[in-house]
Amino acid sequence: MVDLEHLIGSNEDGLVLPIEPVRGHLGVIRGEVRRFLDDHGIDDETWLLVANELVANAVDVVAGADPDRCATDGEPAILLSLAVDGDRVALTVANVGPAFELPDQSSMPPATSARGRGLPLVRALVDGIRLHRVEGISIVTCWRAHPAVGRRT
Amino acid sequence: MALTISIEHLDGTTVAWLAGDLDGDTCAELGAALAAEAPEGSLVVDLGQLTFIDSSGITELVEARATCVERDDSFTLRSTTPPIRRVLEITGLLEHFGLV
Repeated sequence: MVDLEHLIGSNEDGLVLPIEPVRGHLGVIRGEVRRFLDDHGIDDETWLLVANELVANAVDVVAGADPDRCATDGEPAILLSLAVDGDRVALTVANVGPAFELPDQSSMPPATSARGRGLPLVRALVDGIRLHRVEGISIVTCWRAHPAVGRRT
Repeated sequence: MALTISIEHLDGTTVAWLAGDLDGDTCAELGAALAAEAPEGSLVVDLGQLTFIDSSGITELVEARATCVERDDSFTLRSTTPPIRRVLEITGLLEHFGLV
């Protein structure tokens, strides 16, 4: 039984979104992220892009994998969790499927490259990022401080 | 927001006006529109009304430029707003697109 929510920990006051491993939902997901941040008085477009890239990566990983390796017994294959944690915002995206690696800091592909910009872009936008693998689940957590955290406008 | 593409032909130059979000779900629409409506000649892509771009959207612009370069036609990106320019800067593409 795959239980992403259990693996990434509770997020009672945050946003938790189960995500289908199919294309076509990026705009809706960005809208949910924007609404959550607006509700917390945080104006930081960066999170729209970071969430978008991490979800797109997770969808690619799951959709491109052997379905047997991604069986979830009806549980979500991808889970996004966003929380305001003191003076920073933290985002976690967990997915089933084969392992992947986070690129190095300086790994932006050459200008002519057709692929490979998503995770280096995330890396450049956040203050910190960590990838760990538990029970066949990849969990990316990243965080970024924001001066407007906790201030309602 | 969805992506809206308006194409205009002016004296051998095609101008593609993009509005909305150019992301992994909408970028194929741009590729298809350019293939159908700008198969030759110079191309200008106007990003003035673009509200969001992700790495897949960037890739679509890289490929649109490559297609023009291959056939010896000019490619111009114009009207980049600060949020879009920021993504192009982080991905190291400002110079590639002649924006510096």
